[in-house]
Amino acid sequence: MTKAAFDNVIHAPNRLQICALLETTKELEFQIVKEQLDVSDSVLSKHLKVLEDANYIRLIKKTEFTRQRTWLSLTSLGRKAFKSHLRELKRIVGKI
Amino acid sequence: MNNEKETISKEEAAATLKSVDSTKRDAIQSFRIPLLLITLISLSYSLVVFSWGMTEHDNLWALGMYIGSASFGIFVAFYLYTFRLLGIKVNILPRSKERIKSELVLLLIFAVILILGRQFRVYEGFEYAPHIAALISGVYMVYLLYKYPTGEYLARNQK
Repeated sequence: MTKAAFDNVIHAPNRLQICALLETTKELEFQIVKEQLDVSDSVLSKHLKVLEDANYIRLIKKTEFTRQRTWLSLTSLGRKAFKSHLRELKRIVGKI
Repeated sequence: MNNEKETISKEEAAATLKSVDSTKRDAIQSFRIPLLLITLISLSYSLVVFSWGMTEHDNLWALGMYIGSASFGIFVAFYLYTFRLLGIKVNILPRSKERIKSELVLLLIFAVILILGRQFRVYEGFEYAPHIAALISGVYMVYLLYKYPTGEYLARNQK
């Protein structure tokens, strides 16, 4: 076992996947993230709340064409934390 | 938090990295641009390259360049708008160092093809240079838009 400086907020599987998804784009809508992760609204909301509280993601609610949409994006802090978490994983695996 | 961990095995770390990579890959694959739009964007760009290669003082190929540029802009805007309606906002400006590097390389490749297409015809007398340059640019554009619809580059066999 290797002692690792983990970011526990990010390391949970669903939250790690949320960060991975958000890293591929500028912003994603709640519904898209939900479909990609194949989880319920409540489960996703719970994980988003944890990430938002840590200031890793930003949630913006907008009404577009009379439809309420929630856009999610990684903050610069979140992007840094996600990258450093991945770096740590790679270090353990021995890729760095 | 009940999932807190301070230690992790090599195997667990490898599995986590693999799952992150597969999440990104699956997402990028599901964010595919419609083939018609890819074709239109690539054709309009090819028109720009071809017209630039054929432009002379006494012909109208400069018009092709303007039409190609305008169409390219419109189709790219439509691609961004379509994605936005689907719930995806694409990163237009690169955010990471790797992406800045890869986009500069791409820019250089497209610029070299564009310039050589004209130079070979004007200075070397190779009449088909603009045709070949347009074909290479178009095919390369199709490949990039199909493979990396969000602009995010993923290394092969990343585990």
